[in-house]
Parts: sequence; C-alpha cells; structure tokens
Amino acid sequence: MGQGEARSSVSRAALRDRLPASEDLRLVFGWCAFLIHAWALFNLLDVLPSWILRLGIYELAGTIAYPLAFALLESLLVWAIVTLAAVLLPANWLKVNFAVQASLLVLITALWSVVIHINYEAFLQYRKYFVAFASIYLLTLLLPHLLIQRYSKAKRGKKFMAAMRSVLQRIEVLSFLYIFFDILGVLIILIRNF
Amino acid sequence: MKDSLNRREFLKLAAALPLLKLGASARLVPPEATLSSPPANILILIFDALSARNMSLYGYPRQTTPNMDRFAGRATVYHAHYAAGNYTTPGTASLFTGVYPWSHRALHLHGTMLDDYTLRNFFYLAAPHYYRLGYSHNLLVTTLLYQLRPDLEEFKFGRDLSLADTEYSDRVFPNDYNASFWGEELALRGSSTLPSSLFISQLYRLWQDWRERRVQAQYSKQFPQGLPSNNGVLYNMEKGIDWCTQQLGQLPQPFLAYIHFLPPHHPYNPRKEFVNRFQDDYNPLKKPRHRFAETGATNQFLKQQRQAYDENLAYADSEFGRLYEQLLSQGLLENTCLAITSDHGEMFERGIWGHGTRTLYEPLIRVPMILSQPGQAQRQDVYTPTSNVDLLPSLLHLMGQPVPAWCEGRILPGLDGPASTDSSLSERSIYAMEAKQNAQRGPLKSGTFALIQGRYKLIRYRGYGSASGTGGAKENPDELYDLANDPEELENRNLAEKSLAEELAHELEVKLAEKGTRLA
Repeated sequence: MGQGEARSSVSRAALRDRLPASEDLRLVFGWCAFLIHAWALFNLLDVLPSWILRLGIYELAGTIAYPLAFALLESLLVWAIVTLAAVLLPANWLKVNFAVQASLLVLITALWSVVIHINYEAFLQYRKYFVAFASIYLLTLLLPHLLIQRYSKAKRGKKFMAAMRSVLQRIEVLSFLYIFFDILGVLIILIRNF
Repeated sequence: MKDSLNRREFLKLAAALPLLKLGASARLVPPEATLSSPPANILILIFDALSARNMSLYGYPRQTTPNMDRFAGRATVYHAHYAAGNYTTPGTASLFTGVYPWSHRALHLHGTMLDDYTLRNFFYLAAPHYYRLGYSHNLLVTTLLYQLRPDLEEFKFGRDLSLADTEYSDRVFPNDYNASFWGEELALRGSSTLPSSLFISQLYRLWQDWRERRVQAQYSKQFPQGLPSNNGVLYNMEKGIDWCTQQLGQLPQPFLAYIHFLPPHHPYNPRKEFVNRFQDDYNPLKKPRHRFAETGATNQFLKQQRQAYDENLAYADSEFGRLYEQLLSQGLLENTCLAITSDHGEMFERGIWGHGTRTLYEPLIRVPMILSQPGQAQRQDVYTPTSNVDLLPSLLHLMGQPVPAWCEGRILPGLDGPASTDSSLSERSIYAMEAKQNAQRGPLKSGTFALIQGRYKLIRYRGYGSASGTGGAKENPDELYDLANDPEELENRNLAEKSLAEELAHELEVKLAEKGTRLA
C-alpha cells in the first residue's frame, strides 16, 4: 500500500470513527424528516382546498410535488448539518448520545422557527435585537445538552434517553412514508421538466 | 428544325413580346403591393384595476387622467365598456380569448384557462406575420401568458422589468413555470398561508427582507411610500415605460404587443409628486353598506383609500403620457392600433374596498376602452354597452382574420367608420361574473353574475349559503338597476319593474344552464 493510499485509508477510518452510529444517524434523519414534513403538510393542507378547485389532477400533482421535494431537500440538509456538527465537534459534545442530543437540538430549533413564522412581522420589527434573540436561542440549545451530560448516566436520565429513542424509532417508520411521497414528487418534477 | 423564321412567324412572335414584358412585370411585383394598406401594429396597454369611474376622461371630478384624456382626442372612447370578471384572472383571460369566464374557466386566483383556449386566443389566431409579445407586472397574468407562450415570439416574466425579485422557479424550472412557481411560493413565501419550509424559508425571508429594504432605500426619495410590489417583485412604472419607449419602435413589424402594468392596482405607492395631490374636499356619494361589507371598511377608510388610488392613477397616467409622447414622436401611432383598457375596476363604497369581492357594481366592472386606429385624428364616442370579450374579434377584424364562431364577443362598434347604429349591438346582453368558489370543471353553482342589456343591469347572487354568513336566495335578492337614470345603482328596481327583472333573470339562468354546467 502506497503512502497516499495509507493516508487516505487512515482519514477514512478517522472519519468513520467520528461519525455517529449508523442507527443513530437513521433515527435523527427520520426525526428531521418528521418535523419538517409535519410543518409542510400542515401548511399544504391549508392551501389544498383552493388548489383542488382550480387544478386538474396532473397539475395538482405537479404543484404539490415541488414543496414535497423541497421538504426532502430540507430534511437532508438539516440532517447533514447536525451530522457535520457531530463530526467536527468534540465527541462528547454531540456524538455521544447523538440520536437524543441531535433530535433535541433540531426540535428546539424547529420550535423557535415556528414561533418566528407565526410572529414574523414582529420579529422583523425587533430585528435590531437579533443578537439577544440568538443568545437566548443558543442558551436553549445548551441547556438540554448540559442536562444530558449531567444526568445521562443516572437512572432517570437513562429512562428519559430510552423513552426518546423509542419515540424516534416510531417516528422513523412514519418518515419512510414521507420520504416515499417526496421521491414520488421528485419523479413527477423530472417528468414535467425533462 | 428550321434555321430561320419566316416573316409570318416573326410577326407572331413580335406581337407576343409585350405579353412577355407584362408577365415579367407581374412576377416582379412584390405581394405586399397588392394589399390596399400595410398591416397595422397592435399595442394593447392594460392598467390593472383601472375603474372608468375614477377617470377624469369619464367625468370623474378629480383630474386623474389628463394624458389619457389627450390621447382620447384621437381615439374611439367606449363609455359603457365592461370587464368580464371583477379581478385579474377571469378578466384578463376574457381579454385574451373573447369568451366569458364560464367558458374559459380561469375562475380562481392564480388560475389558468382550460387547455382548449391555448388555441383560442388572440396570439394564436393572429395573422402569422405578426410578431407577438406579452409582458405583465402582475404575476396572475404571467401565469396566463405562460400558458400561451408557444404562440409568443417574446414572453417576458414579471421580473424581467422589475427592480428586484426573489423568484427562482422560472430560472430553475423554465419548462414548468406555473407549477414550480406555486410550489416555490408555498415553500418559501407562504402567500395565503405560512411558508411550508420550516427552516430554509426563514433564511430566505430574511434575505428577501434585506434585499427589499436595500432597494426601497435606493428609491425612497422618489417613492416616499415605498415602491410598488407584487408577490415580492419590486418594480416601478418608469422601467416598464422606458422599455416600451426604447423597444417598441425596434420590434419587427407588424407586432402584436400585450403589455400589462400593475398601477393603479394596490399598493397605491405613486411617485412623490403625486402623493397628497388629491387632498381636497371631494366627497364621494355615500351609499348604504352592503351585506358583503368588510369590517374596518368605514367611510373614512374608503375615502382615504380612494384618494390614494386616485393619486396612484394620476401617476400611472403620467407615465402613460411619457409613452404617448414617444409613440407620437416616433410616428408609431400612424401605423399602430393602440388600445387602453383594464382587466377590472376597483371599488370604494358600500363598505367594500378593492376588487375580487362578491359584488359586481359599476366601479368594479366598468373599465375604460380607448382605441385609436392608425392615423385616427378625430375622437369618436360610443355609448353602446361593450365588453372586453369584444377585444379579440375586434383585433382579428383589424388584422383581416376571420372571427371564429365560438367567440362570445362582437366587433367593437366604430371600428369601420362612425359608430354603427346596429340595434342588435345595443340590445345584446353583456355579462360579468365572479365565481371563484366553484371547481374549474364543475358546475357554476355559486357566485355573482351580472347581465347588462341596454340601460338595465341585473345582478344575481347565487348559492351563498348561510355558512358564509350571507344567507341564501331570500337574503340575497336580485338587484335591477336602470343605469341611465340611476348610474350610482342606488335604487333596486327588482320589485318596481318585476316583469323586466324576471325576464332578465330568466335569460341569465338560461345562459348559466347552457354555459355553467359541469365539463367533461
């Protein structure tokens, strides 16, 4: 084995070591997909009645395909970001208990996002306090992380972690359904455009 | 074979020589020379939400349209011209297709026409040598133009003449603009709901907000109330008019150009010299609040909105004046038919503001039609009721094309000389409707429908159940107005002229039974 190949082999091994467990990665992806799709479908259902009035089946499928495909893209992107964070940050920050920690991180960010969506005009008006908002956001991310660090080995902590994993596993099944429709959406987009 | 001609044969040939010359001359004459006159360009300018009632041209007390008044001095002015719908989609589709909304079924906000009408519109039917161009500030019209783009030599998206835009669908998915645009709209901007994207839309909206503020700051001195905008696209009329003044003279001729400007449509953000121009003591006639009145639309609010609208209209008219001067100086009006109209009007009365509402009163559906033919020097006035469905047959007539039998419009009177006294034109029924509650291919069970016949106008409210809070047929009786004696539509003559009301209602119902059925 040449020097280059050896280096590349060492890098790949190092990367594999830094990556969270594949089951955790899957659970986190399922969770990202669930949150993003739940929000997307909630808003899609709001406009669907008016779309049904004016669009035939083919056009309706086409118009729905785009936000679904976008949801898939967003799920992958968010999942990639938290995974990258786990790779880059020290292992005990995110990689350990990755499924639970990353899911909480995404959940808290999602809740913040929902609040901003609902109060967007007010948020724009107070944009000069952006640093303060960002600081509070980071604190809300940090708090669960510290609690997990502190209590993950305690009895209640272990119970909580097990319960979270159980929820993630159930959600993962639901997310397969979302991904199926997303892929269908991507196919529809390809057919309509090429 | 003989080596030489005898005298007789020579004389026969010599006699035939002039015929040869004649034949040669006939081959050399270019085909155009056989036409009586070269084909005229056709320029259709639409000012969105332009109500005839608010134009000084039609007697409004505020001087809102001095430039259009000037243009009217060499045009045919139609005084009882009606839009076919009370908002952009149905109104514009009727302009393109020459049929009422019950036929083309572009009934909904962001709706499209039935596929049949991609082969039944003035772009498709235009004489083949016409260079066809379509442009709109209004994204609802862009949706319709996109449907017709195979028949356009030049199709411009709304953002092509904008100052800033944040759309990507047409760049990424140019072959599927309509569906991808609404997908992008839902995912990133939300529009009638919150954005369906949980995270990325936040970043997008922050970026859109930053960009918009930057552009608004750039133009804040000229536009103190902000730039006009439509679905996140920032624009001003100046850029659109500049493009027209520069490009129209350079287009291949003859051309058929449809250009749809957004002003005076909301937001009423005119250039600074028009702001507060009409802070005067004009008090519009107070009318009783309608049962479809909106909360918050008080008389004071409506008066303020009307003033802002009039100022925006004056701004739009001023920009038209610039274009008009340019067309005159380029001599384009000598070989161009110029038509100015609107897709619908705008209302500021009875507790109702804007358009697309459930009513069809005159401010909402009476729109201008000012049409100047090449070289026309004298004004002509037409008082016969006409409709925007008449535009297609009129344009085809001007292009020397046959008018198809499926067309529901007629050739506008006055195109071939002094306004015709054809009584069939003054007695025919004109229609307008608002039917967005129905499925595109479904029966038209609910909506508001108007029939105008001569001086009378019947308005029928259909299918408004109690769930909407507006009651059924008993709570929504027909309205009959004598527009000659009651132009403000204050006195419902439904009971006083019961037999006429019933006759018109019956005619309307027969038409709805014929046209408003479920489609296969």
